[in-house]
Amino acid sequence: MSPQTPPDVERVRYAVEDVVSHALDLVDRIVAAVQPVLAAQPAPRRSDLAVVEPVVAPVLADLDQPVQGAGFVAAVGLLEDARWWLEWFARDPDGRVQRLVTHSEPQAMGFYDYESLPWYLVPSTTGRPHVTGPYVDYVCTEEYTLTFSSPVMVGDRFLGVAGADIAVKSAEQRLLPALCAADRRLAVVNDDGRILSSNDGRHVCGDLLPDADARADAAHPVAGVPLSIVTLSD
Amino acid sequence: MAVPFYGRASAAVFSPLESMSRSELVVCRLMDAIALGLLPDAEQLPGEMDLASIFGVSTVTVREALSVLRAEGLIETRRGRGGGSFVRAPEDGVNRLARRRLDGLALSELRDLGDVYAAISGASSALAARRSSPDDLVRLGRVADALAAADTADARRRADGHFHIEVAAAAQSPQLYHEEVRLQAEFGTLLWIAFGDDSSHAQMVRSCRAVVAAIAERDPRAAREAAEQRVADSTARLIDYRLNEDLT
Repeated sequence: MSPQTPPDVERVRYAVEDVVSHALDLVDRIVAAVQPVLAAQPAPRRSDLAVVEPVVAPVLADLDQPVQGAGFVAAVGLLEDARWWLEWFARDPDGRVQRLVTHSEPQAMGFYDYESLPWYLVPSTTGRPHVTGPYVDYVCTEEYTLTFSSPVMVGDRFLGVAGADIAVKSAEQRLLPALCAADRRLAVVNDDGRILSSNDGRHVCGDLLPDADARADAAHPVAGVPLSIVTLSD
Repeated sequence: MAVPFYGRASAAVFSPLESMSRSELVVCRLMDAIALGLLPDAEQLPGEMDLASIFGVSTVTVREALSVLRAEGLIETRRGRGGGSFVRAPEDGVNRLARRRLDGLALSELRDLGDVYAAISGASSALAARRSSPDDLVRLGRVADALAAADTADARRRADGHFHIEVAAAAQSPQLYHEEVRLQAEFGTLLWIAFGDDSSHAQMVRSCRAVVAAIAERDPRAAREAAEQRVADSTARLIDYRLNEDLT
């Protein structure tokens, strides 16, 4: 971003942007598919979300790209026939694309109120794309995950989020070559200062950045998402 | 086949199985869940195919298990549209079924399970104290509030299970999370036999707050200690329950 960013840090930023764009490109396409349907339909139903599957299924089936789950999560109370609903698809361990089965009744076993979870809450309040994680996604994949999500709006009205999951290990695979080639100790961190990946064994994935390293002047932000690259002090 | 989606306390019910005859294990797991009210009366079970894939067993095994549960009067199977297997809560509640499994374990085995659970729970809490973000702290506080507000035995058990799972997630460790789920299935379900009344609930709310406070203060040692103590209290309560049972 700034002209004085050193080239090795710049290469890490390219790698981060590449991972981010795999997820956000798909998220944008989900938004583009869902938004006009919801704009035209004052009382949408689950069946109106059938537009999601043809957008996400071919991407998820492509094992050369890192997104492993994606879909649309309806704003609570949006749909006529389900107060809570995830129109979500994910790759199973054999690489096949499966629909996620969820319960929409609050009393049911697998019911899952997503209203307070950051991947839903943050885009709904800021109106901007968000990256959640690294976090243990215990309600869905049970994996160590990054979730990218963007709000779907019609006018001022928030109608849900489009989202895409990338496993932390897939992100790491794509970041490590640039991190390892760097001339200094670097970490890719989120807005909480949580490390996504680094080239330093003392500051590993999942750790929070030590206060001494959390200086804003040492951070190189990644445009459009709450991620940045920081130089670790010795 | 669909990707199963069972979070929170139910993770304990639908996690993969270990040894014993496979159908016995499926029976055991579902029986515990029904006995403890984790699967409430009239709840519809997932279909045979889904159960088979969740537990990692064949549909034949699932069918065998379901027929045992049916013979015990714990599920009812309806055919046709809107059909499936539905839970029928036993009239004498937790006691008959859960006691049967509890009676199969020696006190020394209960103590040993308690030791392992304390180790996992302590390690998770210590890491959570180091790694929790402000968001994580808000979520932990909310789960603690939900536990405090829960007013039925099964709601209290679910909230307790959920609290342990949130702590394991805040530790940022998928492996510890999976151990937590495994132990919750094997041992948490037993601990819950002696948990749910007002006095145990008050104790568990207190210890839950102690764990959350230590995590919020970023004090791994205090968090570990509070979490270990919490499991030790539950284990002691279960062993007392078992001892009293032998007297009567």
